Amino acid sequence: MLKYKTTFYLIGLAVIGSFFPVLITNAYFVHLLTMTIIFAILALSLDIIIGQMGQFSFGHQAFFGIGAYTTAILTTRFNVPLWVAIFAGIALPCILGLIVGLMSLRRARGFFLGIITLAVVKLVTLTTYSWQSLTNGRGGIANVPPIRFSFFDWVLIELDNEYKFYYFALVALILVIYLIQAGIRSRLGRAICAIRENEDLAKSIGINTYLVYVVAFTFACALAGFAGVLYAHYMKLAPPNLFNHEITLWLLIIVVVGGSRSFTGIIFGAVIYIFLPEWFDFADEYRMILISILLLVCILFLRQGIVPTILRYMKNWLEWRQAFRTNRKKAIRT
Amino acid sequence: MEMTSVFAQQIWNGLVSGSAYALFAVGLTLIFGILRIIHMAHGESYMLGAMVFWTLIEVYKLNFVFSLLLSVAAVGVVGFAINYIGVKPLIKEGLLPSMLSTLAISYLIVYSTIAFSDVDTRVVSTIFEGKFLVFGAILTKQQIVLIAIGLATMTAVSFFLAKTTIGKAMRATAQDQTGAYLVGLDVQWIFGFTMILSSVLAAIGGVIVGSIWTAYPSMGWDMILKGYAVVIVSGMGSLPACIATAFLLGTTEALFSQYVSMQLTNGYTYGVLLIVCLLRPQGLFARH
Repeated sequence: MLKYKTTFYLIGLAVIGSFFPVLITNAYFVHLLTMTIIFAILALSLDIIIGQMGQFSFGHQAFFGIGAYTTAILTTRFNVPLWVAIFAGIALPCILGLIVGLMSLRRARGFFLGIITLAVVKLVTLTTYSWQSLTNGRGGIANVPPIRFSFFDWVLIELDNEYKFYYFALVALILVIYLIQAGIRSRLGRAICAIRENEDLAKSIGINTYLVYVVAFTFACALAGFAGVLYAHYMKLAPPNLFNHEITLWLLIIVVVGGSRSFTGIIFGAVIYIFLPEWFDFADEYRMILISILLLVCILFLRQGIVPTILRYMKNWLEWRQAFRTNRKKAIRT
Repeated sequence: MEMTSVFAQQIWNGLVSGSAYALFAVGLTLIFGILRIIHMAHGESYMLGAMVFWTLIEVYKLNFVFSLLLSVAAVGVVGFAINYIGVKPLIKEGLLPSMLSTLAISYLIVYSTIAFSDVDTRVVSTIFEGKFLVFGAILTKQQIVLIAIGLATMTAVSFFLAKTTIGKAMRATAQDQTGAYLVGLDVQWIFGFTMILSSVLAAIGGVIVGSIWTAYPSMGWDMILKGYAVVIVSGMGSLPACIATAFLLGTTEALFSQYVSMQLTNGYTYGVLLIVCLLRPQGLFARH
């Protein structure tokens, strides 16, 4: 039973996910759900670095933005075929992540890695704003074509509609979760876990911490690029505010408040990210203040994140109830 | 003749911004060395110093000295509050929780400032009239006064750390926290004092930048990475190294913006930070 836990989880996710647009047929709501999925994928990729590797990365949205911009520029400026552009949109952040990882992961850990990635994202932002001829500066790239599954000239499906794209995104999310948990269960995943717990001990049993970390980091950046590609083809544009200062905080909120290393937690965190501004819409200017306070409260009191804390309380309560019942039986017998 | 004056002007500009960097970075080094946390809200002490100073001078039309003292005091109180709420509960948990809590506080302060005032940039009108011409560069009296205040503060802090008992206690805590506990130092009190001292220094830096250039709510965010750049590049050891690096960074940045490209000035700073982080993470002036 336990062996198939993940399969049941994914099937459950697929079923529940598919029912949402059917139950609530508001196009805007489905749009919010799609954005939730895109940012959930991005946050899952960040959680590989924060949760699995135990490191920091404050510049993760650089790879997200680069993925979006790459596919956007290639499809609009250079008329590259769609799927080639999508592949490039995943490959370029992957390569960039590889370079950053190779350069920094030999010695930089924790704080230094965070500062390095922050510097990287600032440099990428600067390049985007300055290199006007390529990236259109503050304007961003518009008119990105939607994803189309076609066989030569015969169009199978074109994802130009919120509902259609939502199901595509749902499938993507399920694939990503499957990939990540398969990675965690593999030898590589166990190595990452070992390094996280005690790096020197891991080195002493022969794990090449540098290479393992580079592979994990590159994979996380490639996933972030994939999320960027989804964003570009869904929103049909690639704006420069993807590199904003704010998104660092948001991604950290999603991972810390939602729950690090927990898939449901991170999806929940993405739900919070997308839906909280909608619920707090009444407050308008004071929205971000309330949200910052929420983050502060969560960090101070719910260290592991909302979902794992709730699960822990539930488990404790169930165990307590079980122990109470056993003790009560003993007391009655004697 | 033209060339020299442009060069001299940029050197002077660099010295002015360098003094602000130095005040900011000294506070940050103290926090990083003594509390061993990554304080992401330090830029906000800096910003609040500038904003409160502007409000006192422009809106309430107070005296220069009073405004300076009041804004510094206000930011000191804020520093104490930040320590109490965001830092003290989490200091035993390692780096990440306190970094995230100070990050949340930083956003809280900036968004509150935007909500309760405006997003506009603020300019302080000239208080000290007068200019000097040195090697073709224009040195305004306002700049000189403010730099003098900054330098005096830095000298005072260095003296304080080197000679007084509290200063020695702070240095001891930075060297070895457990040892400090063992010899009976009130380490929690030292933490609080360091936070307040650092925010006061940052506030003075903010006053300098806010009076000479502009003050706007997100100026702390722009400054925090440069502050950490100075801290990392100079290494963790000595305060004079930190101050020297700050001035070096300020001047080279000004020269870069003049002679290479103004847009990419930030790129220069981040590039230097990146290179130092990768090649010599212990800092340029460290012993090993």
